[in-house]
Amino acid sequence: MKKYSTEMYVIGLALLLAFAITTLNTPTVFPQETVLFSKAVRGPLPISDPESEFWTTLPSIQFPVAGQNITTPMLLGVPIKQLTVNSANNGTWIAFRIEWSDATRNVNTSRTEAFRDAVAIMFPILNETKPPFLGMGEAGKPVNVWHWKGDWQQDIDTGFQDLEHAYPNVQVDYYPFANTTQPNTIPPLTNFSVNFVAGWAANNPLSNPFKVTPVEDLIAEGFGSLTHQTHQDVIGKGVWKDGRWRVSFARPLSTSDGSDVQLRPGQTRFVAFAVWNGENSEVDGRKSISNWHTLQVESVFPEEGILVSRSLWQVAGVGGAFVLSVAILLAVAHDWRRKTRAKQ
Amino acid sequence: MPKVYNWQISREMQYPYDGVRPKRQFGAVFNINRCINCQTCTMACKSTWTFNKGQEHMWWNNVETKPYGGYPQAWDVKTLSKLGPQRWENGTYVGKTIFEDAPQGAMVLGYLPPDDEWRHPNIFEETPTPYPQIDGGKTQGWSELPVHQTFFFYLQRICNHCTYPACLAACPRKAIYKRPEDGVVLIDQERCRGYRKCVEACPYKRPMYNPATRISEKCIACYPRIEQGLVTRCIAACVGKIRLQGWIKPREEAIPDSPIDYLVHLAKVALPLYPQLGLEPNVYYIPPRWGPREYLKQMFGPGVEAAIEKYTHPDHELLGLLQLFGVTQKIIERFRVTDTDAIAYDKNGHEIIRVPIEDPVIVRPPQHFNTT
Repeated sequence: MKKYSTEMYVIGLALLLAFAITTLNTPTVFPQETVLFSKAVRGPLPISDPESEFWTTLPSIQFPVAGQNITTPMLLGVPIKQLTVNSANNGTWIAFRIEWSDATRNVNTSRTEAFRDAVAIMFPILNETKPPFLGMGEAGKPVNVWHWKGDWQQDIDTGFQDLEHAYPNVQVDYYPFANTTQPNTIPPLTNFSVNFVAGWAANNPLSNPFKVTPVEDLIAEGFGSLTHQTHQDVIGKGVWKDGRWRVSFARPLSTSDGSDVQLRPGQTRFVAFAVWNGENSEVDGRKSISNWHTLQVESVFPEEGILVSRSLWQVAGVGGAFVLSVAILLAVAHDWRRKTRAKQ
Repeated sequence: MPKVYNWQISREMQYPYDGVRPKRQFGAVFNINRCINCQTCTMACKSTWTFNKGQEHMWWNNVETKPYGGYPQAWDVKTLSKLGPQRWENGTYVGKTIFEDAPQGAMVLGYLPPDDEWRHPNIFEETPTPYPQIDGGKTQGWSELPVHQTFFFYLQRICNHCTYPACLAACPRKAIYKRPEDGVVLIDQERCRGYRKCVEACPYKRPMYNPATRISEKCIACYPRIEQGLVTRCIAACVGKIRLQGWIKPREEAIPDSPIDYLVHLAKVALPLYPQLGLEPNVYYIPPRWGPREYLKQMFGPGVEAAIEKYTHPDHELLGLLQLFGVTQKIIERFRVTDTDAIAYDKNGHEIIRVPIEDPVIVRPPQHFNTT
């Protein structure tokens, strides 16, 4: 057998070293399925504070997202981005924090050409071994989408962004069905008869000026089927600072709504993400999406709860086994004694 | 992508959905020659449908001055220049439609007009334009009054309720639908999510984004009126009586005594607006006699010369039908022209109205010459 030269060993070692350094030091970008660990914690989750230090204590996974090019409208020619995601649950609620860099803060959609920044989490509603079609589910295999919107966040933070916010100098002589005593003033949309605000009258959640949460709870069975749910169960908050969005989402692990994904501690589910850059007119299918990944919901209180329960079970188990063994021994002894007596 | 037949360009073309025509198709003919730009149609629409907050810039009906006027600004030339030079050959359009020329990853070739292009509904109103500026001096004999070296004309616009709507094709949510009963194209106000794909895709720029409700709205062809057999508000209010509403069939199935079919398919006096874009729009125009022909051909297709010839020398039946424009609020389903009168019928065959083709001349007797 031919012996390898010293140079070959050096090159091999160098390659190995390079590989080790690369894999250890670069951000962990996983081209394939990755496991997002929802850490079990005790007490309340900082669900309305996406900037809390708490999130940095959690395992963080970086998910690459690329322009959606499965169906039109597509997002082409946009570099791959990265979402950093953390998750935690306290046995009752589950929370996520998504972080990504975005140089511009787009939170107003009043102008025809203005689009919002947004981010979404998607879960298959059915707990099956294979995820449904990544394009927002498929017939019979619905997905639950939690969609955070920059403009809804702004509505909640600073009040409904009305026409006059986008156009401060707007001047209108007269609106026939506005509740106002002042001529030549622009009353807020909420002073108008809802009958003449078509989207609002049609119960379109986008048109309702009263926003409760920046996160819309949706269901879909494939492209174009995205539908606002009757029960809105997701809350959250987004904060933009120094070119980064940090958005938190939270929902009870289980809800009474059949259109929602139901999560249980100890469970493994599929999860996918999408992000929109309003500055680049990204809206609808023009988004960056991740693959399906795995979400592992850790059982509650692993440090204490499970240990306590485990020792309890152990005590019970050992005790039970001891009692059982004694009983069997006694029974056997009793039987043996009887038999010997009978022989005598 | 399925193929559909578009009679306006005399060929099959690509469209994302199968070519299912509605039971009846809303159609109208606007006679450009008679419009006086009074904007009564515009205000009739505005005061009925778009008076509320968020609709300030919405003019579902507008009248603009061609060649330079446009709402939103330069809507037509912007799409045309995106499409680039294209050709007709013997009445067949051999160029690309906006569906066939869609960029990768999009359904339709379009653009989203930013809000500053919606600022001036009547920009370049009545701006006279020298002929050579438009057609390089190609048009000869454009007018019988050679002192007029300039032209302009009014273009009355509503949603064309296209047979192959680009707005509908581009909506990723299928929130836009075409009603099977009358072909009216509507945006579902509950399902729309304000993506503005329709605003981007419609070359006529009729869907408009509402900044207050954050979703898009468009002309609804006054469907509550149509359902009662009435013409739309813009058509009913027209002072110049330039508009006629009815139903339009494809060319092969034209009904001779249906007024719109007669004007479009038999007399061929009314032409679609930018048929080359491929939407089969259902509002038809009698082109202005004085317009430069090359410009008009770009706008209304290759039938311009014949249409103007027919309009300037109408036969008795056409002359009769032209009298029925704007004379009733009811939708005229059928018409008949006698030696003296033009008669309109409703869907049950009942006479709606009868008008003389030539008004009787009554000479005032001398004793009344000076009285009012």
